[in-house]
Amino acid sequence: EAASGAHSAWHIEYWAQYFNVDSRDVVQRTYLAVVPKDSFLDVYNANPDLWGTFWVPTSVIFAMFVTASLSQGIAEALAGTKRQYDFTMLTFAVATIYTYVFAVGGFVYGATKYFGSSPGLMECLSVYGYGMAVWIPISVLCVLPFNWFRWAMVAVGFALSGFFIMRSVNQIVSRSNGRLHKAIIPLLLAAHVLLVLVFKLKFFSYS
Amino acid sequence: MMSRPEQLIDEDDGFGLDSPFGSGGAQAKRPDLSGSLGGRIGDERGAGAAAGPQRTYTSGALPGGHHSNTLDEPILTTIGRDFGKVGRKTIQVLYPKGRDNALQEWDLWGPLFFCLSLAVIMSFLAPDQQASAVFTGVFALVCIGSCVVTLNCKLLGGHVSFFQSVCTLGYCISPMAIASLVCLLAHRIVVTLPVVAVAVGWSISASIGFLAGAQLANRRLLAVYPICLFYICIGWIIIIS
Repeated sequence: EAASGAHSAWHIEYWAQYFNVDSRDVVQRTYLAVVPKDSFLDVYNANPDLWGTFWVPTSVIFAMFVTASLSQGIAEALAGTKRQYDFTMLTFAVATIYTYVFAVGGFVYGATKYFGSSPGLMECLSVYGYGMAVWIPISVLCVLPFNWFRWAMVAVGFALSGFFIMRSVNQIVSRSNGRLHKAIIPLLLAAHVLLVLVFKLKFFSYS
Repeated sequence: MMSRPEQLIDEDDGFGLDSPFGSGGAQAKRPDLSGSLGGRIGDERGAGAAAGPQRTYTSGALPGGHHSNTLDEPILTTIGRDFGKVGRKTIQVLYPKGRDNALQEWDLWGPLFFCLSLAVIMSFLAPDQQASAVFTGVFALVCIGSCVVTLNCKLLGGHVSFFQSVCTLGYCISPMAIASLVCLLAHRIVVTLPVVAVAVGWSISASIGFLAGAQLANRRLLAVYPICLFYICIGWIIIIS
């Protein structure tokens, strides 16, 4: 881990070390998360950052809220009913996405640490944070009002983000040799399926 | 009603509240703001409402060059000065020509006012059963959002003061508040969409102008992007109402 100097976690300088990235680095890391060809964690661990871990899920929240309300508006305009918007969709998105990223990411950290790997909290959270990035283009595409198309897009998003997350978690888990903690990977997969279903049914479902 | 001739020294100044005057401070001619709430604490003869003449002191007239004693001035002057400051800062945001630097000293009255008015207007525009949720949501979004965006800028190494940045972001909400008022009055999408788009662009460019002094070398995008996200999010909520 990068040296934290003489500052404790209560000083802002401590956290500033996790924001020591340039725009170029963030773009590169986001690209590696969306197109999981090369190893994300190798690039990330050279210089861990929290910018993407926070702002990528926030952008996903915003993108899903905008596209969901847009498709709701289009659907109601086509059907001729009066336009009513649902503000609770924003609060629901905030709760869902932040909970998923930080709770499941934290669970990965806790479980792998308990079973003897040496995970970093920042890298576990970043896998989940950056892993949300694929949902931004998917949610834009899901504005098109064809249900089969939306299911297809959601499947693509599930595949890409799931593959990225599983491969990164596997990389973390494989640092020690125990077999037991490979059991958490089906759990994470189940959590991911749940998230994707929630996305589809709540946000991508207006016809 | 007592009539006070043009006295330079008031014997009643002895309650210790305006000690800089001592025994010989020259005082300016007192403007007579009849009907205002002026008066002094402890002035036993002027106990009736708006009975006495009002007094204002100019700093040039005081011995030793003390600041003017704002404790004795009429309340309207005090309030007027604060409103003047808020108004000057708002104009600085809305018409940033020249280096007025009104935003150097921060205050949170203006941001609170714009945040509240935006939240109230949005709750009027919302469907009835969601009105309070919308009010809470918009208010929380603006408050927490400006703090988070400021924190992000500071963490990236920018040289901004926390409260000054929060103050600027709050003042830059003013075009959005005006746009939401327009949307309240004219419910048609053909009006709201361009008005909100213009307001969003205005807010973003005003706050980026402020950020220019923060010295972020390769990270400008990382600091500017959350600001854009913040204002576009608010703008979107206005549009879909």
